[in-house]
Order: sequence, then structure tokens, then C-alpha cells
Amino acid sequence: MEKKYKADFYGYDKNKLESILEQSLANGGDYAEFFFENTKTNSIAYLDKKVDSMNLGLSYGVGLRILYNLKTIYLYSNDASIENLEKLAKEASSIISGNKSMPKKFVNVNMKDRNPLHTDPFSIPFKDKIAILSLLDEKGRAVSDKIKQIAARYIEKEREILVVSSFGVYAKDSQTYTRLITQALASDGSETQSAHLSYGALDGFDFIKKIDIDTMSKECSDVALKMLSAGYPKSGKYPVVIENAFGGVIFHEACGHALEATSVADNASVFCGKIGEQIANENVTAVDDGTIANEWGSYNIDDEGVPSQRTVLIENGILKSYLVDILGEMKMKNHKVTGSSRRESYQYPPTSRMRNTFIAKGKHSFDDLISSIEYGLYAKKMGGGSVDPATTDFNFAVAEGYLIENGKVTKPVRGATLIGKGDETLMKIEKVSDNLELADGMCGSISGNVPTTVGQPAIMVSSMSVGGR
Amino acid sequence: MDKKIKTLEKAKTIYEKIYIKAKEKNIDEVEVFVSRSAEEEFRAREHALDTFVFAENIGASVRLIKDGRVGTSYTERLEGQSIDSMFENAYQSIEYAAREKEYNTLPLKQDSMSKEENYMEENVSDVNSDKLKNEALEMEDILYKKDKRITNVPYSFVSRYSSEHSIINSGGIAASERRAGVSYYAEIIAEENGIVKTGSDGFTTHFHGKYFSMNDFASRITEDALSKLSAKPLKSGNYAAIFDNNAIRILLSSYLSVFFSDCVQKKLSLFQNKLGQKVANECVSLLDKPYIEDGLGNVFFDGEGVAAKEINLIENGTLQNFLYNTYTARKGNCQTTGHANRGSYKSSIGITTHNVILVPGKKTQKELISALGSGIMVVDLMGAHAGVNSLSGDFSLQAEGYKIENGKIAERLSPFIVSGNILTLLTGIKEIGSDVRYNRSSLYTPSVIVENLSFSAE
Repeated sequence: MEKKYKADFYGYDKNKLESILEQSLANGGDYAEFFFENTKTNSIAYLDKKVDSMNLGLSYGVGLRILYNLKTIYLYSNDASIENLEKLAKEASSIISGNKSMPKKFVNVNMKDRNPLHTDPFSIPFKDKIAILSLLDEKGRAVSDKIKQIAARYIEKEREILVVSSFGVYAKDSQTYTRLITQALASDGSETQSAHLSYGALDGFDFIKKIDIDTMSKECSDVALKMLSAGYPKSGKYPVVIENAFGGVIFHEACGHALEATSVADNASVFCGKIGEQIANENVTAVDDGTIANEWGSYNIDDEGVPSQRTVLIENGILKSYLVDILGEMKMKNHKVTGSSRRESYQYPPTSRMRNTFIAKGKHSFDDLISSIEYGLYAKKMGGGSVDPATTDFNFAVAEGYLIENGKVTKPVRGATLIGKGDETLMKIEKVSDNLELADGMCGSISGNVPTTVGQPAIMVSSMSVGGR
Repeated sequence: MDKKIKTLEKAKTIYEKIYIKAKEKNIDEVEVFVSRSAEEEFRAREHALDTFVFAENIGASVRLIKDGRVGTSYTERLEGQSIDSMFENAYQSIEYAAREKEYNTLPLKQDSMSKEENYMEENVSDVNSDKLKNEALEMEDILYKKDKRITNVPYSFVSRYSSEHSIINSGGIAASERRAGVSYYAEIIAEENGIVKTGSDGFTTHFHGKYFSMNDFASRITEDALSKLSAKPLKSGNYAAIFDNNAIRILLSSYLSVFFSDCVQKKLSLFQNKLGQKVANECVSLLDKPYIEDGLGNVFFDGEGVAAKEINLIENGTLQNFLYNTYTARKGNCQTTGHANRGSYKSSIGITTHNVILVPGKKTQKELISALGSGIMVVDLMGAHAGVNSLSGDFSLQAEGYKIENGKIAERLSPFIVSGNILTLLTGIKEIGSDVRYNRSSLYTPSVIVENLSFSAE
């Protein structure tokens, strides 16, 4: 489907925009950029067998960023009128005292749309979306009478952006997201447990229609029920096998954040100056790929107008690249931008962030991972986590776990958090299987919450601290 | 900086426009909410201003009720056509909403008791921008000078914000409030013999220059990071523990929804059916107050314009009350407590707390440590967004802390995991200290001694 660009700022005269960029650099500066955004978001929450809330909204605004001597000035406003752009340019440039610099003329770039929209979700009646939520509720409850509540949610978002900069960039993208989330609550009278499952894409309503609601509901309710009868793992340090798909959150936290120029360029990452060095077990190859068609963490251009890329981060354990934005490139000099600059909205200056980040397929079978473990944890589904990029001390929660005893997966266990140090854990990924899958998530950092994909095949980490009882 | 409330007039204009449209469509009730915020941020790095952010933001939302069905929508464009689309969106969503005539209604003027304009404004807006910039620079300087092992100050950050919002509804409520504050945040990296550790903290106040001591703030962060340099791994096992005023604050804040009437009604609260029952030890009393000195949760009225009441949540260990908004109060057949949440014009109406106070005891933290004798003192918790299960009460979290031996702090520990359940933790609280943590969030907690918990590391 051909994308339509509807926001009014696409109609602004390009010469005028060039002249405002020039005004922004009237007192010097190495880079000036306007980021325009018009985002429509609809969300429907379904609970207690009815629509619990529905919220339809519009976000609209512009951010002006000027970089000078590696410093940042950022101004934003909801008023994206030409008069206000001029006002912002004047305010921002008044902070700088230097010699005028000249922006480059816009260069026309014909960009291929790598993420074609399959059925504009905004054109689909709400009743069809509510019907899907109602089905999730019905099927989820049908699994067992112990399923006491289903909370389902549908979100659609159309993010129209325009980036114009003194580097001669005039780039636009329309990014449409759809996402379906369900949460099941199981209770046996004394205990309550929950499980959640989501699917999201940078795509239209066709993506939602392709989801097998039966399987999704059942899978979610089953996990909640299993956790109801689960015990706790032992406290201590021992081997952990982490399943594919959302299991990739381990790489995201343990390593990914510390490869972002945000911390690398400020000398605040353990991986500073380690390009070409072995930082992970030789079994590990990791990629951050923003070019996978219609994937949740993909886009045509990043929020600095740079085309998205596929970036190999680690190849057979050797560090190959960081994730670099324009400011990161200016600071680190010999590292080129990787098209990874992102922000939640015009209310944030952008910074280097992950897109679709995953560990590549390995050569082991799932049995190879499990069979040699005497006592361990099999983390089948992961929750979220967090990391301190300077120390790589990270944590993440196991949502669905099982014990591994004498080489076999045995009893279900719940509520465990895993911690480790990223640089040490990367070395301990001793086995990587071949069942690579991706999963959608939201990642929060200094430039806000952005859609990111994590992924991996199942991996075996020789030892991690497990929070048990 | 201009300190006058501006959104009230704007809200009235939008309300008049929408009210006419609403009449035409036989809508019963109308509410308009407008909020505006401004912020200035100064980040110092390597003795120069590294990042300056200046921003203004405005947004509006509308809530319509027709025949017991609610429709809502928001917009960040306030020109004519966008207001029309906001109305159309809200009107469209009414059709799909559940019909709950007996519960869905807006509050009335007599519920509000509020003046039209309310100011929680102190001296913050009068402070010169250069002063704030210099504070960011000075804070970085002080941090570097504290110890030569501090090798990097990635964040030395001062921000000033002001925000105001106005609510107009067809029940006769017209209320607005404005506040301003200043926040300090710093993060440091300390290094010694190849070991790298970090420390960070934040402080927010409505009074510039009154409560914040930059030197104390810097000392706290520095001591925390430096003590980690000699941290020793903890042997996994069960230990008696103190949660210091920061750790217990983080843990309790993850479970506040147990007091929310909407969670109770949706069967999502651990405290369901427990009103009047013991849910915590005798020594535990928990209050919610709409206004305290420099309270970060201070309000004149709640997210619907209703006057907020002081509520006893737990008194001497017994669960006393839940928190209500207009909808949940009607559903629960009681009065609203003035705890409607409206995070921004983008949010649906929910429930919130204002200033939550864990009533302090008499002993200092030092005396608590001495009373514990031996065990662990937890001082920080990470990953609460994932490691806390609000339905089962289980938690399993990355933590920082110290080992306590012979009634004294013995050594710093490497990161470990602390696991337990909030229900047993609350009933097992043995003693509450007097060292309340202020200016970090709207939850005010002293350190507490808890029963044995499971700790995991080596």
C-alpha cells in the first residue's frame, strides 16, 4: 500500500525550512535539526468481559536540536507553525556565541519503503478490533475455571515524522504500529498468578488478523495455570538455559545498552575501546537489524533522518560495532552513524538505541543445552529487566521457569530474578541452539520508550545468580 | 518566568465550544481538561554546559457521558479543527463503551470545594536560569573533588519545571492549580584497581535553596559508589534484614495499587476482602495526605476536580480504607475519597495516591542496625518493573546493601537478589525507624526491620 503523508508540515516550503535552519546556526553550531511529529494513537482496553477504556488521541509537535562543540541545545513545542519555528531558531541560536555556519541544501533522496503497510488499521471499524479482544477473553477463560480474569489490549499508532537538518537532510516516514496484548489471571482461591503475551509489528491490521487467537489465548492461560502450582527454585549460582524469542532480553540488558553510543561516547561503558576484542563466548554472534520488513523495531529512517541499517555487533565473540547516532559519531570520530538514533517523541532529543537485536542461530540442539546440567533453571518465558551500562550489572525476571534436574526439564518454578554482570555473562554463553525467534517489547531509556525487538535461539549460560527461596 | 495560570481561560473556551456540540448530540455530561507544562534542563559535563533543554507543552482532553457510556479523547493541537476531531473521536468511542448508568457520572461543584485558581508556587520560578546552570556545573565540580577515584560524572543535572492544569465540567466544577519545582540528579562512576562502580541519586523540591544541600547530596552519592569498590560477594541463604528508607520506599511504591478501589473491584488487589483485617504488624500505620510541607504529591483537588481527603490506609496493622474516584465510589456504594488519577491529558481516569506516609517510629537507623545484630541491610532495589508480582505479592529483585555484624555495618556487598512476598514482609515488620526519606518521591518511609528473607548471590 502506498503511504499517504497527511500531516500539515509535509506541505511546508523547503526553501523556508532551509532558511530557518540557517537562522538556527546564525551564531554558530555544527548541526541543526527540526523533528516534526504527528502521531495518532488509539488504544482499547478490555477487562471484566467488556470494553474497560478506549482512548483516541493526537500528539503533535516539533523539536529543534543544535549541536555545537559536542554540546546539545534542545527546544520543543506543540506549536509547529512557521512563525514558531523561527522563534525557536532565534531562542536556540541566542544561547550560542560563535560564527555563523551554513547549512547544506536539501538533497533529494528517493527512499524505498521497506515496510509497506498492509491494511491501514485506522480504516478498520472499532467493532472488529473489539471482537478480537472479546475472543481473547472468551478463549482465555475457556481454558479453565481457574482463569478468573482476562485483560486484553489493542493498540494502533500512526507516527508521521519529518526530519530536516543542516546536513542537507529532508526525510520523512510514516510508521504504523499495531499490537495485541493479553494477560490471564489464574486463581485457585488461595494463590493468584498471571501471565501475559503480546504480538506487535510495524504493520497494519493484516498483522493482527493473522494472529491465531485460539493459540494465543490458550498459551497465555496455560502459563498462568502452570505458575499457580509452581514452587521456587533454589537460591544460588548455577547453570541457566534461556529459551528463544523474548529470552533475548538477556542480550538486550547484559550487552546491548552498553554498546549504545549514549554510554560508549561518554566513556561510561565497559565496552569502550574494545572493538576487535573478544567480549563474548565464540559461540555468540549478535546483530541489531533495523531493516527487517515490518518488524516491531524496524523503520525506514531513524529519528535523525538516517536510513536504517543492519549492524553486526558481535561476530563469533569479537566486538564489531557500536550503535552510533550523529552526536556519537562527532564524539567518537572514527565510528560512523548506524541509523540507530531514536526517540519516543518530539519531547526528547534522540540518542542511539537498539532496534531488532538478536543473537544469531548456533549449532546446538535444545537437548544439547539441557542434557549436561545436573541442577539448573530453564527460563522459558522472560519478563523485563534493567542494566547499569557502566558496570553491566543487570537483572531480569523469569515469568515462566522450570527446574532442570539430571539433564531433564522437570517441575515448574516461579518468581525468579536473574542477575549477573554483562561482560562476564557474555563469556559464559557456552551453547547456542538453532531455534532463533524474535519478540516485541518496549525499551525505556533517556530518549523515552521505543518499540524494540529482542530475540535469540535458546542459549545455555554456565552460571548465573538465581533469586529463589 | 510568568507565574499566572493560563489554562483556565483556554479550558473555558474549549468547554463552551464542546458544550454546544454536546447539546446537539444529546450528551448528558461534559468535562474538559487542559494542562500545560514547561521545563528547563541543564546537564553539566567536563566543566561546561553539555545539554540544555527548554520546552513548553500543552494538551487537552475531553470526557463525554451519554446514557451511562463514557467517551474520551485527547489532542496536543488546540486549534479549531483539532478540537472538533477530539470531540468526534470521543463521541465515536461512546458507542463501544459499556453502559453503566448508575456508576458513570461526573462530580459536582459541591464535591470540589476548590477556588478557581490555586497556586502551589514558591520561589522556583523567580530563580535566574544562570543560577540553575551554575548549580549543575558546581555539582559536577563538587562530585569530582570528593575523591580522586571518581573518574566520570556522566550526569550532573538540574531541571526546573512548572505545570498547571484546569478542569471544567458540566457539574459546575471549574478549578485549576499550578506548581513549580526544581530537581537535582547526579550519576557518578568510581574506579579503583580495574573495578568500576556507580552511584546516583535524585532530589526534588518546591522551594529553591531551602531543603537541598548540594554537599550532603554529593557526599551520599560518593560514599555509596566508593563503598561498592570494596564490595564482597554474599553467600546465598536466609538472613534477617533491614530495608533502609530508600529500599522500603521502592518496594512499597510497587505495591500501592493494593489500595486502589479499581483494582479491588477488578479482583486485581491482594487486599481484596481484607478491610478491617490485620494485613501488617501492629507497628505499621500508613496514611495518605493531600498536603504536607514540600510534599511531592501535594494537590488541591484530584484528577476530576474533587477535594482530596486524608485517608488512613493501615492503622496499627489493620486495613482501614481503599482509595476511590467518582466511578469506583458509586460502584462501591460509598463516597469518593478524592483520589482520581489523571497523569496527563493522555491518561484515562484511574486511582492514585497523593503523599503516602509510613508513620515513623522512635529509633534512628543506627539503633535499628544495633537492634538487628546480624543480617543484611538492603539500600537499593532494581528492576521492580519486572521483578514485582502485584497479584501474588512475590518479589525477587536485584539489590544493593551491606552486611551487618555485631550490631554494626560490617562490609559492602556485591549485587545480590532479595526474594520474598509483600504480605509476609508487612506482617513481619518488627520495628520502624525515625529516619524518613524526603524529596525523592511522594512516598515517605523510614527504615524498617523485617523478618528473614531469602538472599541469593554466590
